[in-house]
Amino acid sequence: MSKEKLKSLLLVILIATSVVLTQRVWFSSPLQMTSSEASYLYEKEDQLLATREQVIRPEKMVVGFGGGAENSHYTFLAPSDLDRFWQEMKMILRDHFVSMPVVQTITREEYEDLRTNRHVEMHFGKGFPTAFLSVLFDQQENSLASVTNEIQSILVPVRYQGNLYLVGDEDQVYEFQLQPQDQLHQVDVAELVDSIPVNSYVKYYPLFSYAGNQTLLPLTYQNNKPRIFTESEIDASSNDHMNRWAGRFFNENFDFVKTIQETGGTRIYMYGYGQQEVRINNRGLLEYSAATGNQSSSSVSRALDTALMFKADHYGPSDGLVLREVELLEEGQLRGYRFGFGYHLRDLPVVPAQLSQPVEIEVFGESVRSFSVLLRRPMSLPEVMPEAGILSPHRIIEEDFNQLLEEFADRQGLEAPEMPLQGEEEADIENNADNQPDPGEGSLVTGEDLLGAIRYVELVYLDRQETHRRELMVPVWRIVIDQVAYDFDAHEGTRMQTTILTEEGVR
Amino acid sequence: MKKWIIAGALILLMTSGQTATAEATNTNVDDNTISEAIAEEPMLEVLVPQKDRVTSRETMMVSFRAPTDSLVVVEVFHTMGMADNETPVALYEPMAFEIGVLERGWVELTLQKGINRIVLTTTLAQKNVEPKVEVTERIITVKDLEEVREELSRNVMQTTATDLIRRLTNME
Repeated sequence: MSKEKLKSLLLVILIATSVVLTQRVWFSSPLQMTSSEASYLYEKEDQLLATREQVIRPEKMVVGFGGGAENSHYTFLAPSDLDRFWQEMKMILRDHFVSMPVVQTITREEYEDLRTNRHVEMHFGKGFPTAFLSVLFDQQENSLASVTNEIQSILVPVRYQGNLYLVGDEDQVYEFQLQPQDQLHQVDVAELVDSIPVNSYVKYYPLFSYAGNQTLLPLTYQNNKPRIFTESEIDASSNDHMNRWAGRFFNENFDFVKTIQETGGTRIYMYGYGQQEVRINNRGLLEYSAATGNQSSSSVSRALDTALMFKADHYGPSDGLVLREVELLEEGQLRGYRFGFGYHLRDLPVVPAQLSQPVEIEVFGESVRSFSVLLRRPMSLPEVMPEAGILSPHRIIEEDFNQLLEEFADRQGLEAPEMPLQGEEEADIENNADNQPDPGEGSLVTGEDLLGAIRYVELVYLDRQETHRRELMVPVWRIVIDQVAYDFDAHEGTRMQTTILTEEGVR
Repeated sequence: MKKWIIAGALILLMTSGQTATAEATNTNVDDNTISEAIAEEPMLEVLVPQKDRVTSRETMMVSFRAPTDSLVVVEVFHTMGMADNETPVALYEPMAFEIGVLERGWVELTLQKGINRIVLTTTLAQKNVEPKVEVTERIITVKDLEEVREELSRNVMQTTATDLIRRLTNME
């Protein structure tokens, strides 16, 4: 073969080889990448749907066992029972969203009457928008959204015949009545309520109904709760650990991030000039903030999706997240939403000592403007279970009554009456009564005024967020009177802290 | 002139007679009367149940009001109500409640079918005198739901209209 022919043959082989190899590199890989990206997106979509399903649900559920105005008792469901009840309640709600029930308003008194019969009552987080349920049931146009933007609670009577009751905007109460043909799902609410074994639950009563207050309190709390050693998920003592956490927010830009170590122990990671920032303090509180420019949110449901996806992508999934607050943020022309999430420990909600929720996300448009998280988990240390058990909250209120009354009166700018002190001599009381100035009309606050001002009483684990990664969480009775939350150690009855709630914090 | 004198005298007589009548009625209540009236008021007020009751429910929340620093002991005795010489059975160990500044006490009781006698004994220590003791009772009869319904309808049929109105307007 001549040299020229050989050269031509080699050239042809080289060209063919390079074409084949180029095809392999450029045409097959992108296809694989696209398909993997597509499946990645499907996974994300599935994950988002699952998280949305988990998050869009009542914060609390109360079951009323009936008994009339004088003898009715109630219980708050544990998270595991709440899940079971919610699956059934969703079927009833779905019918109401899909069909067009007849709506009428009823009075608060009629609603309170309904609560004295057997029922299931769902309490949603503060500011919970009706739009969330519309999205959950995929019904943008529905009777509920047409009358109320927010849902506080929904009551389903045990004798459910297509009728449910909703407390919405401005405490207005509505009755929704479905026609029999529109009740597609048959739910036996009586059977659901009867499924709770007798004496397996803590009984709550409206103990202060004589002061015009229907707030529920337990007479005794038989289920003891332990004092638990917990630690925050983020270990702020290790720089490597913090870098890994921070890295999840900056991804490939992490190499260009400036790190500042404050003397107080907080580590700050900054990208650009305030474009993105992550702060981790020595307690393990992580705060992310980013500039969102002129972005504005048009839909609260989309904002929730953005928030949930951000958390899943950058922090990781959390089972058992509970939606506690939804707040509309308006800054000039821009609209955004703040979502507050909480979690449970031993079936009790964990409440931070500061006013914020354990997880808070602010969304403007398609971006997250701020994200803060401090989640604790139990350590592998023994729990402490005091033998005396959980004190009754009405006893705690009684022990501290004089002090509470004085503080309540101070806030009202009025005088507290001289309440009889335990064990004081009769003669002393008489003398004091003589020396007291004659109060003017309406300037005295009575004990019943104080009892009437109790908003709610709840057993929680208080996260004191002290300057440690590790903390002993204790069960606490949070008693909210008017605008103030009083936290009492549930085992010892001592007052741990007093917090003035802003309007947003009060239910 | 005479007429004027007689008329004047009559008017004076009438006026003085009324004054005498007014004076005769002693509207001043002295302290002794007040304290006696107070002493007659019971120490303990059972808020729920306000009176004896027939019910189908076995659990009952009893609430009461008593003075601060008093001690209220609650006992429950049960009989089936069949025989007259039946010995009452105590359903609980005596439960003691120290009453605080709220002046309230609450107890949840699980009763049994038949006659349940709830006895509340209130003791208030007093300076330099014997403690004041008071006993209050409530009889709660627990029956099956059907029996309760029958009894109610029987009561309604046996009651005359006048009695019904009287019972309703008495507001006991």
